[in-house]
Amino acid sequence: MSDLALSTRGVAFGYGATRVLDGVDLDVRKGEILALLGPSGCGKTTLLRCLAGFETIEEGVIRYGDEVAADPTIHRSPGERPVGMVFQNLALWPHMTALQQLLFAGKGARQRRQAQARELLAALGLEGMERRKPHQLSGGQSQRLALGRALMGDPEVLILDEPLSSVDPVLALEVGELLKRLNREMGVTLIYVTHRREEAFHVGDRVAVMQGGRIVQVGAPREIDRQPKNEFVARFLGPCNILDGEVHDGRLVCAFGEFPIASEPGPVRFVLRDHGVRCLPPRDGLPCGRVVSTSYGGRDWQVASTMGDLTVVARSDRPWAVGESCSLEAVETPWILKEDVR
Amino acid sequence: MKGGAPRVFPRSAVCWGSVLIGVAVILPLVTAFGETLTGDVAGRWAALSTVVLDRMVDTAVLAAGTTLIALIFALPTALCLHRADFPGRKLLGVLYVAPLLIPPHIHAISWLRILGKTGYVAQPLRDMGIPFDVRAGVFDVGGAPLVFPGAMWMMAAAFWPLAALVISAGLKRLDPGLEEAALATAGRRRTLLRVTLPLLKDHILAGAFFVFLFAAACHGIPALLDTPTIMLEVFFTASNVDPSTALVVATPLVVVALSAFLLVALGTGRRVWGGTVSFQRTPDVLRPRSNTAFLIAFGTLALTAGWPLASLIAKAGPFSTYQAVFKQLLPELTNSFQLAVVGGLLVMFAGFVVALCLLKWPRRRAFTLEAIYLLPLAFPAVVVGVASTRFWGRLSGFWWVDEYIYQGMGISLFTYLMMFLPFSLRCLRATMNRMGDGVLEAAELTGRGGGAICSRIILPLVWPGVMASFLISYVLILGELSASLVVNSARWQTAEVRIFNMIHFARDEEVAALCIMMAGLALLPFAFYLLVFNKKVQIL
Repeated sequence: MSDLALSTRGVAFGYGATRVLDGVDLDVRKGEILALLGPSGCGKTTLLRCLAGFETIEEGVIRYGDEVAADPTIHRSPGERPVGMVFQNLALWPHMTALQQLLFAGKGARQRRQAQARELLAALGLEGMERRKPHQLSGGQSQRLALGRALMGDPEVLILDEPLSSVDPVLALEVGELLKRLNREMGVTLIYVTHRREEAFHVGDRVAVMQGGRIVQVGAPREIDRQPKNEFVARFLGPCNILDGEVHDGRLVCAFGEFPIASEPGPVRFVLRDHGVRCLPPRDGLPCGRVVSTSYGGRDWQVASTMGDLTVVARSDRPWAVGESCSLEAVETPWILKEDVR
Repeated sequence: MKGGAPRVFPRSAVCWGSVLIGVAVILPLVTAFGETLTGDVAGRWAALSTVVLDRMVDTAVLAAGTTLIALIFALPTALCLHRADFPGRKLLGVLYVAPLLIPPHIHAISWLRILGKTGYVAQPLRDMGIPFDVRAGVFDVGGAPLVFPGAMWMMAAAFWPLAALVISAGLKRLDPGLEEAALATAGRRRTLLRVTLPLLKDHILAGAFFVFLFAAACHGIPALLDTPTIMLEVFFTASNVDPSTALVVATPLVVVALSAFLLVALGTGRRVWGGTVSFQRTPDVLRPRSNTAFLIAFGTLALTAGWPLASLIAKAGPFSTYQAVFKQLLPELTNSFQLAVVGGLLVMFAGFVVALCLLKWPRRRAFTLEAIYLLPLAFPAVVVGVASTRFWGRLSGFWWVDEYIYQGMGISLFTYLMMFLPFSLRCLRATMNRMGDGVLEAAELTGRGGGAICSRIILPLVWPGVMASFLISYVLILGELSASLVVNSARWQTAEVRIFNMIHFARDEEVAALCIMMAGLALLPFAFYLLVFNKKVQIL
């Protein structure tokens, strides 16, 4: 028996002549939370719709466990797949009360559904809201009701399509924690789609980055952040410096000096995140730069400065005046990009 | 298998049901026009004489003039109702469809009481020595008048709410932010002329098209005013020559109407009524208080519905007239009511099945498929009636066709289905489009069957549309005259047909009383639905 809750191989789909998914390979382990991260228009929602059965794939195969849910000859309807889904706009049925929504979404005898619905309402903090209709619920309550409705059918995989895109950061954090708790307690596998790095890193056990209808990298949040596969992933995950250098005798030689590195000799392209470079007062032995902009970025300041032809983003524990001279020091080991994809 | 349409809903029964309905609606028209191409083709096509072409020109001029006058009524009224505020705005926003609910020939009868030879307006003018004849034409071309202002006026008074409905739908869909952005840099007048009206142009065009189509296909008003139109020619040919020749005579109009229909449907249709409808509340800044707006909206409604109806009420006189007419015409009134209720239910049910089938098709394909069901809109009522008679006439003799269809109410019901399915379907599609993305998909994920999803999710969400679709069909059937004159069997003669015949021999008071009773039968259920349940009818 497979330890994968879901796997896709070479999934392709398009709207007319426009290819939206172009050979998606993805494995989701049982009980994990996989965050699907990518820019708008990269095919995240379309992939979810294919997984849920709302779209018919043109090529490839989708499996839930060992069972094929879709390939070019088979198409299981959404109701026949072991999935639940929380829609981006929640899609709560406006004419039904909270309890009715859950009962309609449940499976099995009415008594069992009643008990499950009450249990879920309690677990989601919606006791006392049974008789309320969607327009009588707050944003957070609606989010939780949509989550409860998706869980009523005992899905093995729960798909969430940017569920926090329209809520404030505090509520987003709260719902994120709730998702983690449900994942722990109920063992349900979650696929969480977002275009926000912070959300993906907060919720996901692993993060899959999508670009142009393909999955380009899958890994733990730190791994994805520190070891991006290509320039696109590196830039999409936040401010960074993409620079050229050369490897000689196990050392990377670049504008920031020399670093020991395990790589084949020859020219390379590497990434240094903004927090991997410190902006310091002018100091001998360090490359010099001139500040072009500075902004407060939470715990410290982000500083952009020119260093010859290069513009470098760095961090500093104090604000800088534009035009001020500075020194730049790499405090992390650069990461060599494996693919030349921008 | 290609990507695109999900295959979960509708179930096959719904699909087959809609195919059957499509066949029932289109087949009689196709076979009837197909027949004109067989047999004595040359003889029939000879019927397309210069007289027919002259009538086409007359009809085009009449319809164009009507459209122009209707837009003069519709555009300001729609703008006043949606871009101004005044006491009673919501009520007027519902009541403005009233002229459309009154059958055109009743409009004509009531206007004849005002503008006819002995009418309130014509009589004093004649007494002063000013000749005034509402039936007369002006601008003689080749010895025959080309423009008939009286008929234009009456048709515009009857059909302007069609244009107003489409323009109102456009105003409701317009993103208020666009006009607010314009108001920040320009005055109201400039915003209206440079932003609002250009953004509404597709809706104005579609509204004008509907009025043009209805005016060109109208039979009741030209018949009462003796205005030469192609529809009168078709009706006379069907009654006095033969139905096949009548269809040949109607061919140029049908071809023009079909071309215009396709042009508008493909050109502006998707922008006008395709896609998801999302209505946003109009901000107060776009709706300043205005007494002038009240005067325009109220005045238009009073002029086009209030005054003519009041003249009929005045003519009908005491209550005893109504009692006498009711006793005398009870069978016809019962027939009308029964046909309207049963026909309304049939058309509503058929519209619901087709709308359900189209629900899960990708929007573009659904729109194209829907156009097939809307095609009968391009066929004038008399033509639909003739086609239906020919079709069922050929099947006469089979099993129960003679008794229940050809000689019974069946033929009328099938004809009404052909004529009014487009209205029911549009009404239901507009309501279903408002359900919002994801609502159905969320239901499909539960694994429930099509029946449960339909009864627990779709029906509760679209029931105002279902009710409205029934009421629209009910009202349209109740006021239908042109096709009824052709298809209704002797056993199922309706009150409208009776009114048409009574004009020539009955007392004016009796005709007026019957008109008021029929208008009441049409308006009261609608008013009850709109006012008590406060549900607006969303046709577009």
